[in-house]
Amino acid sequence: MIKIITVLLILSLTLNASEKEYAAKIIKNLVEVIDSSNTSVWTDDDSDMTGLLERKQLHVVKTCKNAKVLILSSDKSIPKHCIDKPILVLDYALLEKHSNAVSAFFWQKGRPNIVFIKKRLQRFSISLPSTYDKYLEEQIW
Amino acid sequence: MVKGNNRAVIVFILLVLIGFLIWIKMYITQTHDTLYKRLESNALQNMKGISKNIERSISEKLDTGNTHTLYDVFKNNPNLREEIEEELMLFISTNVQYVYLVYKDKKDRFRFLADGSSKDKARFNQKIDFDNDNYIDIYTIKKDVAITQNTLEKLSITYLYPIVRQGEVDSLLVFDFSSNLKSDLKKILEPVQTLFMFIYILIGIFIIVTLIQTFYYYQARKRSFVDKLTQTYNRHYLRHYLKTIDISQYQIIMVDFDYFKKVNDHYGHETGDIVLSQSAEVMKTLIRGEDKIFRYGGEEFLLLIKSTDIVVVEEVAERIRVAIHSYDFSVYDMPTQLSVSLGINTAPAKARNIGEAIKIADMMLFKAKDQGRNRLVSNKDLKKVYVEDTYSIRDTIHNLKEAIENDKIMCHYQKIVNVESQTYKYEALVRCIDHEGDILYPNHFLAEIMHTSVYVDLSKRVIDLSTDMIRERSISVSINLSIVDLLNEELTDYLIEKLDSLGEHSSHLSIEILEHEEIHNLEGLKAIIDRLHQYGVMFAIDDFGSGYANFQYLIELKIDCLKIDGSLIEKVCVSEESRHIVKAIINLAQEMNMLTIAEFVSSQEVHDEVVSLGIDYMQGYYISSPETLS
Repeated sequence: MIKIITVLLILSLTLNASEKEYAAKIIKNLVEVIDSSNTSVWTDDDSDMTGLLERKQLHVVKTCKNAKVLILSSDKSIPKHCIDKPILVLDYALLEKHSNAVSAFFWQKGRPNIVFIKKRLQRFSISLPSTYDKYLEEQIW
Repeated sequence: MVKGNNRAVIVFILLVLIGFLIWIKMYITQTHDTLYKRLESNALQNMKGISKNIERSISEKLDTGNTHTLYDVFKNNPNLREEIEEELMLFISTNVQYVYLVYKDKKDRFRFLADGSSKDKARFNQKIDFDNDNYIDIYTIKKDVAITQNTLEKLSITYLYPIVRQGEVDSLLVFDFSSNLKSDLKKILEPVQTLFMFIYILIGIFIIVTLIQTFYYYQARKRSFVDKLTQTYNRHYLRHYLKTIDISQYQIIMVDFDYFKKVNDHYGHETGDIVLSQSAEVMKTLIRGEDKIFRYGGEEFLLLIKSTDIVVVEEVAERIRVAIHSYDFSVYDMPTQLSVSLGINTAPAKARNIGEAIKIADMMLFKAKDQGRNRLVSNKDLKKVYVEDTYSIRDTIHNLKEAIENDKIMCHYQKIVNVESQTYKYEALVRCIDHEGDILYPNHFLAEIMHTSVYVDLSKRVIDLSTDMIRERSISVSINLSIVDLLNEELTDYLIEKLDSLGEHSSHLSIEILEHEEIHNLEGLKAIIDRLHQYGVMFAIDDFGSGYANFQYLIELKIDCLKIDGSLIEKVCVSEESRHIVKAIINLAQEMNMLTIAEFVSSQEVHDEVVSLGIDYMQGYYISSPETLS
């Protein structure tokens, strides 16, 4: 019985991990779009996001000061000395809270969704490849 | 062990069982799919009804003649949108995870109009990324569509219903079904599937156990068929193999090592074993794949050569003889060259059965030994004898062999007395008890078994019985052996072994040499007689006065006693010539310091006559008939 429970637990963790792996892969792509030069990132995500991103060969730094892009999953305030950095948020609503949030990746209706805010990209002089045009939004709704 | 037929039945049952289970498994899978499709179809049918109701409800809520798109309507009337969202919320259930309205913007991107979800609620006009062209295609086909979600973990099906206004698709009503639908169905079928899983496991274990057992069965069977030492087939397999072949396509070669006992005695059994295994390897290289080699006895091999050509088989036999004879066994610290004798039965199919066919090869082998060893003898020229002869010879050999094996050989003992009628010794006379319990005398079987290995076995048995009698009763016993017997090393070794076991009583044994044959190996004979003399064994010439070479024996061999032929003794009172010959023999014996025995003393007259002639000992029915000493 213990064996069965262990197998089910490992299976559930694996399934859960696969969705996170998928998210990490998209996040990596988005970060590279935001800053293509061997980007260093910082995240406020307390879960295993750091490890996942590192596995995707993203350079995750411990302090936001050293990061070029910030990845935020909560509405906690970011240190003042980091507020001028472009941000990728993991919730659509966080686009409103962080004025430097240039992009969002989030799950909506069981589907992965990506949003880029055009004006904010321009502010950071970020040019988007044409393949990302369908994710480009003029405003936050 | 499982017999062949039973195994076939088990395999058949297993196959039927496996077939049945596969069919059940396929049936369950099919039923599962059918049920799922039916459930899916029912669910979608329901959704279609619900969608129509929602579409109707939206139309009713709009002012008659309102031609604006729903985007415009909801943008300008948030309350109506909320009202619709509340309505959509009613259809959220365990299976229906999300219900919402979307529209396609100018850039073919979909945006929310209304969202019935309370959790994960989207904002008005918020973009949603659909990765399927079916969403756009509905604007053309204007029909509802069900999309199976294979890449999304939490969704199983998405049902899309077009809301048509003024003949055009205005927006899409979307129902996302959770993956619970499939898992619910799985739960329903789970007990049945679990039951079958256990049955599969049990059947699997059964099959594995059966396979393992079959594997071990064949391993054990193989082991039981192969002689460990020589890696040739054994007699057990010979019996099995003979049932599977047409013996008329084969010829039989019996191979036996000459003087093999010497190898074991002088160099040890380990060396003997090496010699056998090496020789077997040699023989294997000289036969073809379709031929078979069996270890038939201790140092005896039987070869079944698949050929009806006598020349071919004789060539094979000769090759084996030469190969063994020229094989260098010195690497095993054996200075001597070894040789084999071979007997060939060129027509085994003509024998009554395979046992007899082998016996004929064995007889030929014995002839080869008799003719000096290191040679091969076949029955190709003797075929007539074996074919035309009655089966009595074969029957006799077979019966006697059986009698020896079943301890049906016995001895009668006839007294030999001196002139004072005191018992001097007993002559052991062999008898055989047949199937009916009747006693058979040597004239019934001795001639037939001469020159066969059975004869040697019989002589050994007589030696056994006589030495036992000496040991038990401390009497002197005389046995009859032929010159061939005395030159048979196997037999003389056996005799010496027995004499050793008798200790001081060994001198109680006497040997009467049957003078039926000319002496071919005089030196050998002298050597063995000398050797046996050392044990105190006395030698007598049996039936002296008949046959040939009588005087050669006297000159060349150290004979202790002459046993005057019965045909002379029984006429001693009626024939002057016989009386003269008997008298001359007695005188000769006295001159040469030998004792004399008169046999066939059948009356008082004969008794008195031979006594008067100076005989030392007498034997015959007048004195005592042969009898058991029990």
